[in-house]
Amino acid sequence: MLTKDLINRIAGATGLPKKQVEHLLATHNAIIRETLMDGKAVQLPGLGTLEIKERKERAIVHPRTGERTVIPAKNQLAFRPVVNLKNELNKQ
Amino acid sequence: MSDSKLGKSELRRALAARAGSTEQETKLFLDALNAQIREGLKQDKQVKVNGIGTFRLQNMAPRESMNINTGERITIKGYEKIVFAPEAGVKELIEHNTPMKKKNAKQVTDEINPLEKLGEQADEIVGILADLGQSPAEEEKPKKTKGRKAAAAKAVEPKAETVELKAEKPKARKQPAAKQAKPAEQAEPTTPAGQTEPVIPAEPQPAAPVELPEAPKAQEAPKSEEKKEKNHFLRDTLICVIILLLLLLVGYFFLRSQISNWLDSLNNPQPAQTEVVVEAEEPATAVETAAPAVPEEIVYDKLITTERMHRHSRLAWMAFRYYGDKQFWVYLYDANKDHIVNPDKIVVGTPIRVPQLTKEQMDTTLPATRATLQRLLEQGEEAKKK
Repeated sequence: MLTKDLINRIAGATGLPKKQVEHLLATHNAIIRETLMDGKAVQLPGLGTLEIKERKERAIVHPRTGERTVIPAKNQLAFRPVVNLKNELNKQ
Repeated sequence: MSDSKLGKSELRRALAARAGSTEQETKLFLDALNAQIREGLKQDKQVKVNGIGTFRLQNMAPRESMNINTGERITIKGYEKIVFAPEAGVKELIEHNTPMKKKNAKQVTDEINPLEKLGEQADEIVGILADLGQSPAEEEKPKKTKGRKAAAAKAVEPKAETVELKAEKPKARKQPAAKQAKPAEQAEPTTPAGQTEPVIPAEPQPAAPVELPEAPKAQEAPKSEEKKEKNHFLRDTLICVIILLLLLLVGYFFLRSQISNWLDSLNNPQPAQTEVVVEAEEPATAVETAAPAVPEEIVYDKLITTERMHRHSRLAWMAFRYYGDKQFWVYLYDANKDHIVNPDKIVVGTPIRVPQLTKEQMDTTLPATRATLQRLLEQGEEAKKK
C-alpha cells in the first residue's frame, strides 16, 4: 500500500477532505521526525514504537585484506511493534 | 516517561496545534491512520508512509528447534514479523543529526565510562596491530636509515661540486656516495641546477641545501626501497650461482666414476643378464667342492661370504651388492664356474662363493684388469649358450 492509497483510505474512513488528511499526515510525520531527532521515542498507538537505538563503535576486519577498520558509533531508527499487532497479524 | 517518549496524547496535541485543526479531527485522523496501517499490513503486507518509512511484513519460515530441558524436537511455527525500514533521508538524518543525544539526556557521568572503554579498546587494537606489524616495522627500520644516509649523501653532493675548485680530495671521496644515489639524482631538478652553477659558488651553496631536504625527503622512501630490492636481488642471484656451482662440483665428482664405468662398459659391452632361475633342489654338499686352481686362472684366496642362490637372485646383482658394480659379475661366475654350468640358469640353492677382490681387480682403468674382465666375460657368454 502506498501513501496515496493510505490517504484515500483515511479520508474515506473519517470523512475528512483528502487535502486535510494529506496535510495532517505530513505534519504528523514531521512531528515524528523532529521528536526522533531530539532523541525521543515516538509511540504510534496500536502499531508500536519508533525509537532511536545507539549502535556502538566496533572494529571490523576485512576478510580478504585483513585490514582493520573501526565503524564509528551511530544512531539507528528502530521500530518495536506492539505485541498485540503481531498476534493479530498471525491469527489468520 | 514523557521525557523520553512522545505519547499518544502529546502527539495529538502537537499535531492539532501544528496542523491547525481541531482535536476531534486529529483524533479521528490518528485513529484512522493507525487502523489503516494495520489493515494495509494485513492486506498488502506492506504500507508505505512517505516521510517516515515503510512498514512491512516479513515471513519467517517455520523452523526446527529442541527443547533444551527434555531434548525433544519441536517446530517453531512460522509467523509474520513486522519490520520497519526508515526512508533513506530519515535514516541519514537520524544517523548524522542525532549525535548521541540519548546518552547526554540520560547521564552525564555515564559518559566517562564508555570513553574509557573506547580508549582501552583502542589500546588493545593498537597492541594487536603492533604485534601484527612488528616484522614489517623491523624491516622498515634499516630502509629508513639507508634512506636518510642517501639523503645526507645528496645534501653533501652539490656542495662537493661547488667546492670542486678549492679541493679535489673531498670531491673524490664524495662522488662515489653521489653515484650511489644516482637514480635519485636523475629525478631531482635541483642537482642539475647545482651542476650548472659551480662557477658562482656564493649563490648556489645556500640555495641548494635549503631546497634539497624538502625535495628528496618525499622521494626518499621509494628510492631506498628500490635500492633495497636491488641489493636483495643481487644477493639472491649470488647465492643461487654459488649453490649451482657447488651442485655442479658435487655432481661432477659423483658422476665421474660412474661415467668412466659407463664408458668402460661401452668399450667391452656386457649383454643384459637374463638369468632364469630354475626351481630345483640341490644337495647342500656342493658347498664344499673346492675351486679349481688353474694356473692362468685367478686365485680367489679370500672369501667375503658364501651365499645361496635364491629365487630372483642374479649374479650381477650380487656383484653390485658386494663390489658396487654389476660388471664384476664375471668374477663371481669365475669363482663358481666349477658348479655353475650356465650363469643365466643357476639352480636355486646353489651356494655362490663371493671372493674378496683386490683393488687391481676392481680398477677398470688398468688395461690388465680390463683384459681379464673381457676374457672372463667371454667365458661367461660362452657358458650361457650351454
